[in-house]
Amino acid sequence: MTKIKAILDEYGIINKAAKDLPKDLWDSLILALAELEDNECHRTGTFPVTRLHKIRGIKEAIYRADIDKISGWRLHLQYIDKILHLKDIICGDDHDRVIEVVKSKRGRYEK
Amino acid sequence: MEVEFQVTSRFEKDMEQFSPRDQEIIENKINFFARAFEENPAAIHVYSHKIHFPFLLKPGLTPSLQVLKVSKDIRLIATFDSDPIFDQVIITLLACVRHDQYEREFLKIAEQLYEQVLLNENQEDEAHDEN
Repeated sequence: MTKIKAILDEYGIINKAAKDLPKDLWDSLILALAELEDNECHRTGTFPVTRLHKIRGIKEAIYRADIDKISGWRLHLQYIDKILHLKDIICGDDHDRVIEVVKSKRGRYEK
Repeated sequence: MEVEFQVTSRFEKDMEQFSPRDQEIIENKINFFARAFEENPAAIHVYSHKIHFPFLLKPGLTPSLQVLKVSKDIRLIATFDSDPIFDQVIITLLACVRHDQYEREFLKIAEQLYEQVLLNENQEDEAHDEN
């Protein structure tokens, strides 16, 4: 069996999803949660389904995970003591403000 | 832990306004701040301006937006984020301005950056009532 990374849903995000998420995206939600639980994805740092990434500008370890790229529905999670906590489910109509990053550099900054 | 710099179009345009000598100073200072943050995230506050954050974020959220002194005349506006899942530090270079502009630019950038995570007006009123 795949090694599992624990996800906690103390805020009832799955319950909220059952009410708010369009039914045609329920399978996408399952696949997103499956990827977030997959320890191999965490080990390799690759999340092709959810495109998991840290939300910039916030000190806390809050992450964004796509449920569905086209509609924009997504999850916000917080990483605390190696456990992912579901924090919110965001409607596709509420767009995250995008900071226009033109390039990334690793290690050392040079113009 | 690796450091990833994310460079915004606004920052690149700002850099073009500075002389090659000033650009070199800014570059060196960015790398200095990055090393300091990598070693101890709390240490970055030693170098940052104490600036009043004019907005109320949603409960449990703390802004990582900083204004850092590069030189007597130059200020860097950036976010410094620890990213434990990917075992890295992310430094987003947002703007680089003259010292007499930093407060105004900080406000503009904070408004854009935190538009999605600001407490809405009703919640802010309730928070004040409780106090």
